[in-house]
Amino acid sequence: MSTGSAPHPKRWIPTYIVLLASLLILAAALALQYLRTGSDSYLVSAAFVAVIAVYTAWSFARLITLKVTPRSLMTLLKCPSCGHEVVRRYREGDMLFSELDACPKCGSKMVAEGIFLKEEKH
Amino acid sequence: MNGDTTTNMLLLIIALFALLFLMQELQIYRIITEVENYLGIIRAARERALHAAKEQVRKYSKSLDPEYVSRRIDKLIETRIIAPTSLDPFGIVRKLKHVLSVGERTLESEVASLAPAASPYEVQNLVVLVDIARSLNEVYKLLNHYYLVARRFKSLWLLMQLSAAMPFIIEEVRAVEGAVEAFRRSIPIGDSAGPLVAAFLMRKYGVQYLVEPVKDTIVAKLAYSGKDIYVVKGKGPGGNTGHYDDAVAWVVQRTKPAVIITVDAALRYEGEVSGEVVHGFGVAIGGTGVEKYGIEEIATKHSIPLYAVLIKMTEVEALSAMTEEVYRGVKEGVTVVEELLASLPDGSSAIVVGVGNTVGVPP
Ligand SMILES: [Zn+2]
Repeated sequence: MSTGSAPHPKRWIPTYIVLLASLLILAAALALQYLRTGSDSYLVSAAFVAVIAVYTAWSFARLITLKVTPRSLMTLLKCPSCGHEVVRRYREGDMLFSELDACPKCGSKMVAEGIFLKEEKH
Repeated sequence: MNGDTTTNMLLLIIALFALLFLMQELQIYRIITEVENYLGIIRAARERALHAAKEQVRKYSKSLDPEYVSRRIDKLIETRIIAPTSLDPFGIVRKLKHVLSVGERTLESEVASLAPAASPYEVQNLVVLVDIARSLNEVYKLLNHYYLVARRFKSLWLLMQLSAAMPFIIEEVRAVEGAVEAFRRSIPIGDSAGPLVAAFLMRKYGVQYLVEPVKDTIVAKLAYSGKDIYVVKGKGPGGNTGHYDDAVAWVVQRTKPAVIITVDAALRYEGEVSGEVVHGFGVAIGGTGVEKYGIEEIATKHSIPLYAVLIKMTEVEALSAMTEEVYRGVKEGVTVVEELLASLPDGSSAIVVGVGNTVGVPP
């Protein structure tokens, strides 16, 4: 099923790249035409396309600087006998306060003390 | 020569007016597309929530015809709760409570009949999923109505109002949508902060006895040396909020508490930090106000001081799976409540109410 979250804004990046590239090519072609023919209407069109290209580039820049910090669901496990704590990725079926994995230090069952979204760090 | 300039001037003025008119039309068009885009997002959110609710109910529907289940849920999300009239406000809270509890019970039994294989707490989570689809459906229909009216009358004013309100509504829709995953998996959300504080207290001090005097609401007496501490929370791990007013009344019938402490999630402002814990006075319960009223009544009648411990978060955080910041806030909240309890004289009693949705927080 769907993830339930809103679509990621960065999925527009390829569209922006294609749009920006075609605008730049168009502007260059128009400028070239102006240089060849000296006709003012080419210059005006080139300037017009260039303005649109700048606007597109500006929105593109805004999009890629958009900070999206990915968060993933984690389970905090605590050993009731020795107090050792482990944070690992949430697994389907994890339930708060239930006994899950064995403690790596003393081998007794660890208890889920918390389930939360944690910012991913690389 | 002179005539030429006049013609040019005239042309310029005409061009200017044409441009102004064009700009206006362009603006209307821009706002319409903007509102349409927003509406598309909300519609998609509604579809996803509805799909998730149906999918999840079908998991427990055993031999029931999937088509039938789907049609029943389509009907369920159209049901309305009609608030009692405030023409004669005397006793309105009691009436509201009655209407709400009838609606709640009916929805629960409907969902239970569609999902015979689900355990009671799974039914509660299914009810919440259906409820989410219902609220998104309502939001979508209302906004769509305004949008269609605005379009029909080409009302720039109405369209501007709609597009100005949309970002806030979208934020809320995202928040509600974030809840879908949490309820599907039965894990705590930000709003579960209150019940989680209550659960940590119960685990830390141990429970002398635990009763369910009111449906879906538990009262636990802590094994706290020298003081009678009663903890009230919704019965987990199903997604419900419990009926705190009735549970508090049940405790007050048995003992006179020195203080009632409500622990709840509170909306933080932009610029504040999530998970911050603040003190307050009064009853910290949001929603319809029915339970807040009930507890305030009891406290005023017996002149019991009301303390509140608030854990700050955004609306999105309140409804989505609990974030690490809020979780740390919960831990701090436990300490704050412990300090409050420790400051009470020996032999006194207190009630701690963990307010919020107790999804994923046993018992
Ligand atoms: Zn251990």
